[in-house]
Formats: sequence, C-alpha cells, structure tokens
Amino acid sequence: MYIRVGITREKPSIDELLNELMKNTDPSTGAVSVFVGFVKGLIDDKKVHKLIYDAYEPYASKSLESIAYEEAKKHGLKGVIIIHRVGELVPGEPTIYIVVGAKSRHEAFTGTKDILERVKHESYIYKLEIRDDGEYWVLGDGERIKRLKRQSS
Amino acid sequence: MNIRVKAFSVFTDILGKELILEIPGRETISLEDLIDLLTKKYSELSKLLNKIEYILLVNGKRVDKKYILHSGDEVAILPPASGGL
Repeated sequence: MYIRVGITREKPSIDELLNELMKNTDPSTGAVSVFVGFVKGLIDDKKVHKLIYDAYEPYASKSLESIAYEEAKKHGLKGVIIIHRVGELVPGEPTIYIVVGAKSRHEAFTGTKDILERVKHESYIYKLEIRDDGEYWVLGDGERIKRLKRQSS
Repeated sequence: MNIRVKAFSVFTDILGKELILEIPGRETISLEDLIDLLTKKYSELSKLLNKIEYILLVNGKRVDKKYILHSGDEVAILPPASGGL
C-alpha cells in the first residue's frame, strides 16, 4: 500500500495528488475518493476573517501517518495521502486533503470518512478562529473558548 | 534539572509557546508534581485545567501523571485536537 502524509503551508494540486496516488498503487485500484475541507466564511452567524492552524511537530505528522496506516489496513485500501495545511488561511481556502485509493467505491468512501474523523480528533493540530466578534480557540469537535490574551513568544 | 514545556492552542495564552522550567536540586520529578509547580506559578492555568479536557505528552507520548521526568524531557500541554475543517 502507498502512504504519504504532510503538514504544509503550501496549497497542493489535486491533479498532482491524484496522479501520485495512481502511479503508486497497484492495477487493482478502481476507485479514488478525494475529500477537501475548506475554511468556512460564516460560523454561528459570525463572519470569519481567517483561521490560524498550528501543529505539534513531528508528532502531528506521526499521528497522521499512524491514522493512514491503520485505516488502510482496516479497510484494505491501496493508497492514502493526507495533507493538512497550517498557518493563516482565509475563507474559501482548502485546509485538508484526503486522497484514498481502493479496489471499489465502498472501501474508498468509508475509508475516507473514517480517516477524516480520526484526523479531526487525534492529530495534534489546533486552530484559532479570527471572527467579527473576537478570537476563539477551537477545542475538539466544536467547543470554543475566547482567546484570553495574545501570547508574546 | 530543566524541563522544556510546550503549550498549544488556548494554553499559549497563559504559558506562551514554550518555556524552560528550571527545578534546582532535583534529578527527577513526577509529571503530577511538574503540573503542580506550573499551576502555582500560573494561577490561570489551574482554572483552565479544571475547566477543559487536556492531554499531556512527554517526548510525544501519552503518559499518566505518575510518569517520572528527567532533565531534558519535553512536556506538551494540549487541548483536544481541532484539525480538519
């Protein structure tokens, strides 16, 4: 199976990710699922100006790698690419890419969904929402806490 | 002994991104005692730890609070992850 993960400030090309996956998986691969997550422009009726993503490296990359290997094994996937972006991202910009190759659509879809859920909960990646009504840390799956103060270091 | 403490997300509001905690006259300390030291130094941290779920990693691995730290270890304080979209 082919596995690659990355945490980057760059915006990858979906075409290149698809080609990379197809080039590196065996000929029995018949389905590729591509999931792309984007920064929302509106949250709780408040305008979002940007999200700032931060990752605890190298452990965030290691956690993505474990998720990719474990889910590939569980679903019998042929290949998994997970790319998570960090830094300042404005609404409409992509944040995460999950590209999954499998023998058939069922494995590709369920594998993609399970990988996304685990990335959201296990990846040591964090975000700060800069909105019209202030700055909020997002904790876990949706809990928000207002930024106490700007850290200086 | 010295312990490097790394903070993420809401914890950076209190601790900054990283600090080196110097503990004179000790060769080891439990993770539990290190957290006690930090909460005594940073009262807001104590309030926050009682309010939200958090994860403690030592050199990238999840350990329990009885874990014994040695000089040069890296302790990270993190809330639940919020990656994805």
